[in-house]
Amino acid sequence: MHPEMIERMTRALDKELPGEDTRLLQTHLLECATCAGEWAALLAVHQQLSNARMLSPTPGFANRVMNRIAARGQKRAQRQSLVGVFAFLVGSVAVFALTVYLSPLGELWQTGGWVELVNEVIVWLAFLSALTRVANTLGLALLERSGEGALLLMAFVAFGLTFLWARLVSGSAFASRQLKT
Amino acid sequence: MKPAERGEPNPGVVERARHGDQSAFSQLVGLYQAPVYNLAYRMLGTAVEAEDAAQETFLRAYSQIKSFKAEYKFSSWLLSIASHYCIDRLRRNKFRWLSLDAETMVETLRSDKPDPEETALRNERSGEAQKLLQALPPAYRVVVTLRYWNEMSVEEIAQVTHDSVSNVKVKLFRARQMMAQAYVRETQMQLRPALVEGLGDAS
Repeated sequence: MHPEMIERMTRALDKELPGEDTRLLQTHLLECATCAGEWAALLAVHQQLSNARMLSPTPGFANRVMNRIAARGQKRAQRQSLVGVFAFLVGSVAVFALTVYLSPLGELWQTGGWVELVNEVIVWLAFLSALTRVANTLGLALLERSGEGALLLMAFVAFGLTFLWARLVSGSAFASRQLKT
Repeated sequence: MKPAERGEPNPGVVERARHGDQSAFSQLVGLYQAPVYNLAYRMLGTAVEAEDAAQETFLRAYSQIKSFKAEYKFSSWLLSIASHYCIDRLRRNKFRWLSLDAETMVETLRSDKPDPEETALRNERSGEAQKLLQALPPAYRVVVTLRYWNEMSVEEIAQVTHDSVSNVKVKLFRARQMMAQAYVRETQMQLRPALVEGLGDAS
């Protein structure tokens, strides 16, 4: 086989072989049986490929593609909304954690003061419990010695003082608002 | 595809498709479905796989259409997506050929009617051209398909395959030789000097 002739053959198939080279190839093919066989095979393949028709998809192809595009768009939208919810949750948790971290509670956490805090709460609960017990004892004593009237009077005084305190607090808040405006 | 058939679409249609106009994109699908499907069929060899690959090509084109540059031919850009997808698919298929055979068999058993493309191939000299293509590596198959069915120049093929012009020429040359050898083996062709006359037909 002669490689330079094979190269000429492919150029001849692509119609890129100049006239002089075509004549040289023709002469060579008449003399060389191997190259003539190669040419015959190349030509047969070339003709088969050139005659093969272009295949088309079955009818409705464009609709099938557009349906898949629409379905993929829906899936993407669903995925995006899920990602959105997830981002919101993560963001909320992050903001909450940051808030706690920056608050006095966070400070307590950093300094390991949680035990102290719990102790404080217990003390306050004990104090409130003691206060309740004192109030209970005092009420019972008043009830035993001076009767229901004294107890009712004490309740009335307590109610009056609370009302006065509320008026004072709301009054001062109102005054401060007025000052600001 | 004949040269007249491979006219580029109205630039306005591509532009509208780039801006998300689905009806414009649908027009592009209608215009290019045959070359894309044909390339997929010639590469993959079955109607089921070709349909899926052609659809996937258009889905990818739809999602990447914003990256299409107007200085290129739309058909070259689209066929580039199709050829790369088919080569990737063939590479993946190599690793799961057993399951693929099973799928193809199930698909064949499922349909009673002969597939229109299978019928067309039988009419096409018993699908001889397809048989010859199957003897080639995927990278050579693309070059041959673009050359013969899409009538692309070597330069255009180089653009589609992201290859150099000289590489495309080498691939085309080797592909022809491989197919010629396969053809000789298949037909037990005798060396006949009389076929020299064919030179006049080709040139």
